Amino acid sequence: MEHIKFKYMSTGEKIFTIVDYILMIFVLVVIAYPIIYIISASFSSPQAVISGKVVLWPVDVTLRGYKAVFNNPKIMTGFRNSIFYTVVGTFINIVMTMCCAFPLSEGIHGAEQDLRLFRLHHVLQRRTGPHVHPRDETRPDQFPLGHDHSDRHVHLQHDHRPHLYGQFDPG
Amino acid sequence: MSKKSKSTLQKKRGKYNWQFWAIIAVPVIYAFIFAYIPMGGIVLAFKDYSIRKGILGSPWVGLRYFKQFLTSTSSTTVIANTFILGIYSLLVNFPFPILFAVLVNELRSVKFKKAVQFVSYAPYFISTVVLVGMMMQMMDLRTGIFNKILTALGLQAVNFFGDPKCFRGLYVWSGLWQSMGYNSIIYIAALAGVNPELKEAATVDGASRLQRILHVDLPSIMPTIVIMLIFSCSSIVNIGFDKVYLMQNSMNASVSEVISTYVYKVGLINSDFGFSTAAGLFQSLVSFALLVVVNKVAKKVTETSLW
Repeated sequence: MEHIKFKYMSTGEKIFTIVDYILMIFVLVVIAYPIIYIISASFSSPQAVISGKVVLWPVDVTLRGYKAVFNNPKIMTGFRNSIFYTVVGTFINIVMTMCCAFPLSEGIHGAEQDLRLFRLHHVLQRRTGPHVHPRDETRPDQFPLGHDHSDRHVHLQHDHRPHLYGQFDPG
Repeated sequence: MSKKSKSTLQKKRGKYNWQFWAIIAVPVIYAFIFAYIPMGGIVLAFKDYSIRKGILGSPWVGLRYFKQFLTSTSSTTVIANTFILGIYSLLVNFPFPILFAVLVNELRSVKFKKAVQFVSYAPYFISTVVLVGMMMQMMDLRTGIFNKILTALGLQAVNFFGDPKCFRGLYVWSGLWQSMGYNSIIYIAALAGVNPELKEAATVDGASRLQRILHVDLPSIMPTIVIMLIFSCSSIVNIGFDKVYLMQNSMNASVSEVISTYVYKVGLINSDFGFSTAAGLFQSLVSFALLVVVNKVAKKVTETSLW
């Protein structure tokens, strides 16, 4: 939609725009302040933090905290472990969800009814949202293994699944 | 698939069908081994478990642990705490991301919009432990920045983590600080998909911006809102364990003890496996029942539902 220039807006629209910007600036400050504060505190000397001299920017800049972190073998072990868990966990997660989604959307007809409980399990685990599979009717080559999907509209009529915008993780 | 549409097409497809079944067998077996077999452990809720006799050898006790959990005074406080915290959390964490998404969507300057979105997503990527650490540092009674500001303004310093009255507010509003931006992503995406012709038509008809939001934007994203509401309602009882546990101390335990932390203490620390399994099972059942009921209501009222 074309945006109207501010000076051409009615008074009500002007007020709305101004209030919107003020609220967003407020949200920006409230969200950003603790992050900036904690980063500043990490670069400041402990005395300055405790005595309350650090308000926004670092005071008595020092890298002592970071030196302590990188010299601590336990923290480095923990960091390696978390990378390992994330990489392996994500890999398994993607493989499993793909193995689940691909046959359900492309292959096994009527299977969505049979596997409804299984999918419910995944919904409860909040791993995957209900999947969406937009199809281009004009391109037959996207259906693998030479399947004829010309009767799939019959199938889709019974499809009351909610249509979300791809996968998500609300947690 | 209805019977009458079984045709040659069906047979042709059947030739390769086993390949699809082979692919789907992988996650099915995975879920069976790692999710459904361990579920057998819930028999512990009905047994007087002793390590010597094993899970199957221990004697049955029926619903004794459930009765104990639902009647003892300490656990009724725990159940009440869980519900209050969950509902408070829902009431704050559900509407604000929608409001935020609408306001972001109305911003004209693309650069400012991008900046607001970037900053609001940032806290989501801070881990819970670091978040609670930050809160403890910033809200410390003597050295915290909040109390420094309060005393500079001539007000009484507040012991945020020691006062039971502050716990729920801290938990809920810090949760909003952390997840508002991230939770609004899905609404912002939905708002971007609202048909611009509808908005133009409303403008031509003389609708103000507020009216366009109320009568075009919100009805258009209603299915998304309903789905997110169903998800949120099911998590009323499933208050996350880690954040509550990290924020807990002996001074605020009267309001901060929820089912999951209670189960952890009774089950894993005091080794009362039967009782803690019963409590955990109760939590899961209530959560499941909420999901089903809210889904039903949503289906009736808005014709949008999970299944």
